[in-house]
Amino acid sequence: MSAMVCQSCGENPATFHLTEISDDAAPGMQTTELHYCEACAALAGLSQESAVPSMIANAVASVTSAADAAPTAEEEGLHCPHCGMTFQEFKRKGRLGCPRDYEVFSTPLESMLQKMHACGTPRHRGRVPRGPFEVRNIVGDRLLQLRRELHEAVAGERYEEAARVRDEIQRIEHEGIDIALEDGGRDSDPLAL
Amino acid sequence: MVGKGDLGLGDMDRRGGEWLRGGGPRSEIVISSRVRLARNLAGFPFLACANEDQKSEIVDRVKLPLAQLPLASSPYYVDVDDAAETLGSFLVERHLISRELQHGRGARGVAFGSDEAVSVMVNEEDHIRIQSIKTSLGLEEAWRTAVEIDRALESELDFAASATFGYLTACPTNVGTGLRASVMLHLPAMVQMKQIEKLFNAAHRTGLTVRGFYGEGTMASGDLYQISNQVTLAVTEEEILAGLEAILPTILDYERKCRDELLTARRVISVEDRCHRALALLRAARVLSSDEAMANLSAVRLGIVTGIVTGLDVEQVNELFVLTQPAHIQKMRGETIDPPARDAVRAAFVRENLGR
Ligand SMILES: [Zn+2]
Ligand SMILES: [Zn+2]
Repeated sequence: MSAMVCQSCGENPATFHLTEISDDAAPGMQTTELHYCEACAALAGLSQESAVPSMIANAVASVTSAADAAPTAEEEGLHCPHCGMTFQEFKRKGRLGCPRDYEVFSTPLESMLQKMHACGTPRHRGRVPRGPFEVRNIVGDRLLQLRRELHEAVAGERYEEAARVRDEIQRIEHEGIDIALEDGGRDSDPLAL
Repeated sequence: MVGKGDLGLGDMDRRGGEWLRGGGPRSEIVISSRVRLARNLAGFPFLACANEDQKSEIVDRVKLPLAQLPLASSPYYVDVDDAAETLGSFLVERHLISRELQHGRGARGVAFGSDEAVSVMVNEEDHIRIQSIKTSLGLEEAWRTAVEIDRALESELDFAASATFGYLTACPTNVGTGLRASVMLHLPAMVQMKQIEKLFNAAHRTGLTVRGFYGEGTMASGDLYQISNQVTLAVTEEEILAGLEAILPTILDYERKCRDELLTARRVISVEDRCHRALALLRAARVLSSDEAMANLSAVRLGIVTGIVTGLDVEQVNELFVLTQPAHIQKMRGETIDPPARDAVRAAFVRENLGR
């Protein structure tokens, strides 16, 4: 019953519709409408729920092609210490690994965000959660780090270490900011030793 | 909190959620208005990097605040990881969960009130997805409810956020506000007059996305279209809602003009014919596929809102759009049945509902 025919095969009714951000170096966003049948959508790697990843793939493609296709050595080496995600892996999956990745990948993400969100400056302007960001982020980062250590300890069957880390996580979750500051500070600041 | 697996869902398979009730503003065209907020817990990896223990921990962490949500009724919680395939599909058909949650892996679930106006998915693409849905045109109301739920959860949980990027989400297309607002429209006259491209053009111009009743793959179904915002960062929530609301008069106007055109002396007989045939078919069929049901229900709905068909109301048809879906038919029978048998059950159910 759809009024449109698939753009790809020109035969089947188009049941898959997507607005894609196209490759365009000009400021502002250029979008393209895609209308595919189910089969062609699947062939193009656009399964039912994947409108968003394909948008990313496209934004990534346009950003990287603008920068002469190959990612910079810096981009190539970017990797998040908390979740292990690399920028390459993110481009493949279309999903980030942890909240820290927005900082870790901030340089290459900037132009992707500009395209995805059709904005000059990708800065948040909406509602914010309660409480100061600094505190929230110190506690969050410390917990991410500990959960990573816990995961590695369990994987390496180092159960005593795992138990210790688990206690530490609970302590921070109960007592919060002071402890995170104290411990996070000790880890990241050599002078504190 | 009630409900585990299949228990406690009562007569849900025999009635639609509140959002199908109709009767509100622009309900001759607008089926429902929906707002979704994406949130993640600080201190946990996003789901792509979360291990099974962490996923379970997230569910455990979120369940208690979910049980205390200010909902119309004590919320149901369905453990989707444990749920039977049919129950998962049933929840997708009711728009309570996404296919992504249904087919995900590891600890995950959904909480919702008995009126189905609010649902909260846990461990879908993000740790938390709040959905608020209202019947007809009610974006503001849906937004207010979503904020209420967001605040209630936020008082118990720490959400990942930064001053620069706002609420941090697994996919950068949702970052910032985490807000996706959408309206579901019934546009049979635009389809019939071959004007539906105007919808895509209007959406295109304003950076909005068009999808079908159940997402991208279902555009043909029942002439039902969803429009939603694409941009979530560097805009305020109010701007997002206003942007979507701003395009509606244009689209509603197109659809109304097409309906008027269909009702002109030259064409009216063929529309009357189509609507009455559709109703006759639904009242007589012994075998009815899901697609055939949707197509004919769409024609009957057009007939009701234009006064061609009398004695039925829009709510009945809205509900049947959902209740005639495959998993609903199977749930009514309480067993898994193959498509031919399903089509017979569907036909009987529709006859019973639209009978004189
Ligand atoms: Zn095709
Ligand atoms: Zn990370």
